[in-house]
Amino acid sequence: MFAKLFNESLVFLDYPVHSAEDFIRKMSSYLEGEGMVLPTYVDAVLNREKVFPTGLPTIPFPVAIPHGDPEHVIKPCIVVAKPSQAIEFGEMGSLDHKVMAHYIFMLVIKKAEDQIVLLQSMIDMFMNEEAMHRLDEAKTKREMIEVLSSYLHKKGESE
Amino acid sequence: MKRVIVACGSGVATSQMVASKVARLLKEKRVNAVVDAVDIKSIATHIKQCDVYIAITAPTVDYPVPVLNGIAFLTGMGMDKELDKLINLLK
Repeated sequence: MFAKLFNESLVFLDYPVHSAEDFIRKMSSYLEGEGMVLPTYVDAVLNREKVFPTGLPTIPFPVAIPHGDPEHVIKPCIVVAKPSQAIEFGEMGSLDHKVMAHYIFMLVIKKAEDQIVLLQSMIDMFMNEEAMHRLDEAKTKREMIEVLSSYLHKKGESE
Repeated sequence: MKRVIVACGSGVATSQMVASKVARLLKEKRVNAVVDAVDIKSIATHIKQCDVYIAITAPTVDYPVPVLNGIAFLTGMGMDKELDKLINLLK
């Protein structure tokens, strides 16, 4: 499951974006070009983010997990982006709080049931300070995948 | 068997993650309950058929059942407190 959803072509280091909307537009366009999502995906994610923001004030690094409704997804995957600067996202479950996301994990998924063990271990990883510091120390896409894999792979495969 | 519902905007990613995490935590504490992820759009129907509602979106109306903070299960902050509340509600 890990190898199906994550790969180096979907990891972005020092990704040059200046806002959540800018990120969602650029990334959706890239994913559309790769045949992963429909042209309707971008608006689905933007609208959802407005109504149900996805920023999480996790320690040590706040993260955001933008996603759209499954009907706009062709091929499930998970995008991992470290923006060149922290990006402001609305805080999940709040109407007005903001978080400055250091990492953005875009969940391009169709049916969560299929990936639930992996998604849950991702959430556990966000709360794991050692894991997130190791991710932060990774210098290349390959190193980032290796760190993610070491925390997510076994759990994702066990189901 | 008591039923807990978790709702998010699409019922597909966030609520599933929280539901599966809550189910695992309850199992570890040996508390029997059904935990279902639902779409916020169908909350009006589900709320009548549950004992506790774990909210991920900001609640805008009053609900007839206890409402807990689902974000705690995603960030870990305040999670033990919400879990204790949940366990008490399920007793």
